[in-house]
Amino acid sequence: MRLKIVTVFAAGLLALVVGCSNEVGPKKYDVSGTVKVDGKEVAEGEIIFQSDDQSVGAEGGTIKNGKYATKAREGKNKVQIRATRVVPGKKGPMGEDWVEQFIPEQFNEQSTLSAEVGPGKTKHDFELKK
Amino acid sequence: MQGLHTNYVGCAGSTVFGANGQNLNGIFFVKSKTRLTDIKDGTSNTLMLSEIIVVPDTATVNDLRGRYCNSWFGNSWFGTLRTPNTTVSDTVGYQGINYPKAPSTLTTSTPNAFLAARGYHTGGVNVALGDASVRFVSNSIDAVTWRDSGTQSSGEVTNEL
Repeated sequence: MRLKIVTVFAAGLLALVVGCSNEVGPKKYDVSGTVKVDGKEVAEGEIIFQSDDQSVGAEGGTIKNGKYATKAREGKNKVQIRATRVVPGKKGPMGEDWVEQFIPEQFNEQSTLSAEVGPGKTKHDFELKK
Repeated sequence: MQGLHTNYVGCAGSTVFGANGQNLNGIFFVKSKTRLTDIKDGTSNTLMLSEIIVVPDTATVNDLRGRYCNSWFGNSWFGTLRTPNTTVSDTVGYQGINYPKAPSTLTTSTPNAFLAARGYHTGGVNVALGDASVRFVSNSIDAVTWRDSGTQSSGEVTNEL
């Protein structure tokens, strides 16, 4: 019985060590850049990099005043950009501010944007035309 | 906080909330009547609950994530579209607070509402499966395995969560 406990403990420890030291999937890079829509900086939004390697989750980062910085996986990534703004004078059903996502879906839900990430390929600027 | 909040919520499946949150592919969704025998992928392969991060309201803004009563737009469920503790923000539809480790993007009346599994444990989240077993799932779990484990009867069988 004691042996079993020791074995379980050792296996657990091993899993812990492996789990912490081995980030799975393509290497992560710090990527950054600017986002403009029709020549104007996106004041508030989010950018998402989804690796073509479907076994790894997407990475997301905030866009603030036209700039973003986030992580992304090495290789080809599908990029989604969402931008939101308060619509002046319009209210939601509970009287709350109405916030709209104003970038067309070919840049987010049905994105056609992509970016190649790797050594020397960590700066990506996006100039979207509506 | 307004209404009951908890940081354990049911799994609505592998998709966003949609227009009305009905007929999603997880065990729990709006007006769901899932029986144990409906879980064709097997109860031990299908997610039932996960942790999420509950965010304190401010004086003027409510964050509804984890709200069971007086809730709205998918705030009472999590999904497996995104991996646990993803850096991608949750999508909420009424009000929300962008919070450390629980980022959120607000869009009024969005059909894309979605909450990811989130927690403060190092490296992953605690989940409960349909057979009531509890597991710790790593943030770096295979994204396809994670997505599939959120669905109750899509035909895939996930052995290793």
